[in-house]
Amino acid sequence: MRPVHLIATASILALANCPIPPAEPQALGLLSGQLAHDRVTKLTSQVHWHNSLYQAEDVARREGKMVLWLHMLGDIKGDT
Amino acid sequence: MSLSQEPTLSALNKYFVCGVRDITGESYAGASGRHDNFGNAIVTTNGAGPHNIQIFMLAADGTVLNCLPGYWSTQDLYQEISLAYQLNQIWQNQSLSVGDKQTYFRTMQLAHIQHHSPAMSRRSRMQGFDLQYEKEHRPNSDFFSGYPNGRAKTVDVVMHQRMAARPFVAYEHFDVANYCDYGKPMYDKEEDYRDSSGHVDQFAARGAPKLGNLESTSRKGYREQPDPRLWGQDQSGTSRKLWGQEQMPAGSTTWGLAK
Repeated sequence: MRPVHLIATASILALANCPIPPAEPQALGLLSGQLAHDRVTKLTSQVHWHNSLYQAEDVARREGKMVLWLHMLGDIKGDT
Repeated sequence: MSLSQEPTLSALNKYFVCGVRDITGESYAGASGRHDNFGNAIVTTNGAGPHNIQIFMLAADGTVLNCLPGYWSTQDLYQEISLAYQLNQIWQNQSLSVGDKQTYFRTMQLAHIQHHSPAMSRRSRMQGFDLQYEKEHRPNSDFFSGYPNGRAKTVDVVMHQRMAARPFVAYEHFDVANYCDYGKPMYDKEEDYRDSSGHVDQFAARGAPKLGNLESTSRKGYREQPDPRLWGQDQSGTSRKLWGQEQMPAGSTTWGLAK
C-alpha cells in the first residue's frame, strides 16, 4: 500500500471515532434584498398564515392536518 | 427564508395549517438587526438564531410533535417535517396507550439522529461565536456532555435529544425558554451592511436598528459585535455555496410522508 493510502486510511479511522464531522469552511450566503423579498412574497402568497393558534388548530382538525406554528421576531411579511 | 423553498413549501400546503406569532417581548426571545421588506437576507447554519425563531410542528390538538430552533435549510427541515408526520400517526393511534406513545416518541426522536446525513451534520455545526459563548456561559451545556476536550455536539443532535425529553407535550406547557437556550441571545449577520464578498461595513452597521428583546443582550459578558474571524466564513471567498438552495433530490428519504 502506498503511503498516501495509509494516510487516507488512518484519516478515515480517526474520523470514525470523531463525534462531529471534520472542520471545513462554513459557506454563508448573502441573498439580495430583491431575492429575499421574492421568497417572502412566495411564502406569504402561497401559504395562508393564521395569527391565532386556536383558529389554526380548528382548521387543522377539520382538514386532518398538522399545524406549523412559527415563532419569529417581527412580521413574516417582511419587516423582521 | 427556507420555508419558501421546495420541498418544504409543498409540504406546508399538503400537510399543515400554518400560523405565525411575533415573539418580540417574550422573555426567551433574543434580538437581531431589523430588516425591511427589501432587506438582504443570509443563508446560514441549521439552528442559528434559536432565540429568534422556533418552528413548531403540532398535532391538530396542539401537542408538540417536533420543534426546530432557529434557521434550518429546506432539505433538513423537510426531514424533520417527515418525522413530525410519523409522530402524528403515533399520536393519533387510539390503540396505543399514552405510555406506549411516549416511548415511541423518545425512540423515534433519538433514532432520527442516526438518519441525519454527514452533510446535514455539517450544516448543523454551531458557529464559532455561538460556540464560544456557550463554552463561556454554559460550560455544563448538553452540547458538551460526553464530549471531552472542548468538542461539541451539532445542533441537529441536541435538538432531538432535547425533544426526546419532551414527549408529546402540549404547546402551552412546552418550555420554549429552556428548549431553545443555546448560543448568543443576539443574532445579527448585518446583512444590509454586507457586500457580495461577505465584507461588512462595520461603521455603517454600528447604528443599525435592532429588533427583539434588547435587554437579553445586556447579559454579563455579552459582546455585540462578534469577532468576524469566529463567523466561520471562507476567507478566500472562493466557496459561495448557499445553504438551503439545493433542491431535494428525487427519491430521497421521506420518513413516511405520504406521496
